[in-house]
Amino acid sequence: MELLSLNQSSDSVPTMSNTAFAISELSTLERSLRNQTRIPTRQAPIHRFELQNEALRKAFSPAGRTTFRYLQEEPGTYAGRTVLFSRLPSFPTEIVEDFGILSSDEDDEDVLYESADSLASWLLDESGAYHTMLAIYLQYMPLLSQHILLASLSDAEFSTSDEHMMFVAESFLMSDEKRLAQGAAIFLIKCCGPEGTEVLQNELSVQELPHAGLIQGAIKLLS
Amino acid sequence: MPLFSNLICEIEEICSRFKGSNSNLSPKPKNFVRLCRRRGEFEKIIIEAIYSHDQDWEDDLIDRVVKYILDEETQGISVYNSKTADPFDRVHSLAVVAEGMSQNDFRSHKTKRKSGSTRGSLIIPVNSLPEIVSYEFTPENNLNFYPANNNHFDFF
Repeated sequence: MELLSLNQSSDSVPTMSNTAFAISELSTLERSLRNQTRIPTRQAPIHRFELQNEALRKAFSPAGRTTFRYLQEEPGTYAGRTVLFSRLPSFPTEIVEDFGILSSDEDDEDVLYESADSLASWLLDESGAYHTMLAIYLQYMPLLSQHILLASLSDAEFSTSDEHMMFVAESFLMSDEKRLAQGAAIFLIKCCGPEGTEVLQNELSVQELPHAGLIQGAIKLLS
Repeated sequence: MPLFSNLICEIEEICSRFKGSNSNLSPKPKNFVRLCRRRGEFEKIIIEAIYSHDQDWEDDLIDRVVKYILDEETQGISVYNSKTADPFDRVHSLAVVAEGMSQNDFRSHKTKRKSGSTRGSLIIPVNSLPEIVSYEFTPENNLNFYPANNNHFDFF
């Protein structure tokens, strides 16, 4: 089976039921994210056997989060111990288009908010299986889109207990971009229940966050 | 008969209110309520205004106030007169309803509330307004939502 890259251009994003993510590319992408650089819009397909548990751990899991699921056409042929395979749901076409806009170079905040609102409204009625996929896409969007999508989800009173969503929001707390750092804090407080607030408090206590004062302000204002 | 004359005065005042704008009958404003449609942006602005270490507002923050709280308007900025700073003030509630009704989303046939429908409210005491801001009683600018008309003002 050939695996297609996550970061394809919007006009060629396939439905997710037939697609798996390029896991071995994720550690590279993660480094790119940390360097605040843009992700290449197209990457070469990779083979299934290039899946690496280590790459998965680096991309999603600092502390044993090993339940992330991937597609596999031939169950049992992969020898990894901690990767589980299962079929993922599909995104509707209009939602794929929203992801395309949010992943593009668009810098008009009104345009981005329109797509983010559309995505948030759709997501409210969908199952938690989509939340993990959203976490993946969110991680590799431009900073402005990350902030706006989190704001739209918070305004829509979106609710999740998905650990990957929380992990991505937690990672945004360390951002130098103050809107994103605050947006992540607001998202954890409003959308992730008591566990989100706990994650936030814990992160404040163990990390030196660039905008710790503003994040504490968000806790005072909203908790 | 004093009671009858009082009644006449009352009726005249009520009738004149229905006639629309008449600045002589405008309620004396104490606080102004400004509704912000993007609550997520509103909250960040408030947090930065209160908790930022910088005494002076950064240009970026000012730009966001202009965009998300003033809707990039330089005049005719819609506000409502609220007697108290209480978020449960009657006029505050009317203002929220009136602002929501003025949006196209309110009139659509959606079965659920849209994500952009949450609001942030900024309550501004009149005595805190800078001298360059003037205001005018403008009930006619409230899209004829009567209960809130009598508390509608515009900043200029």
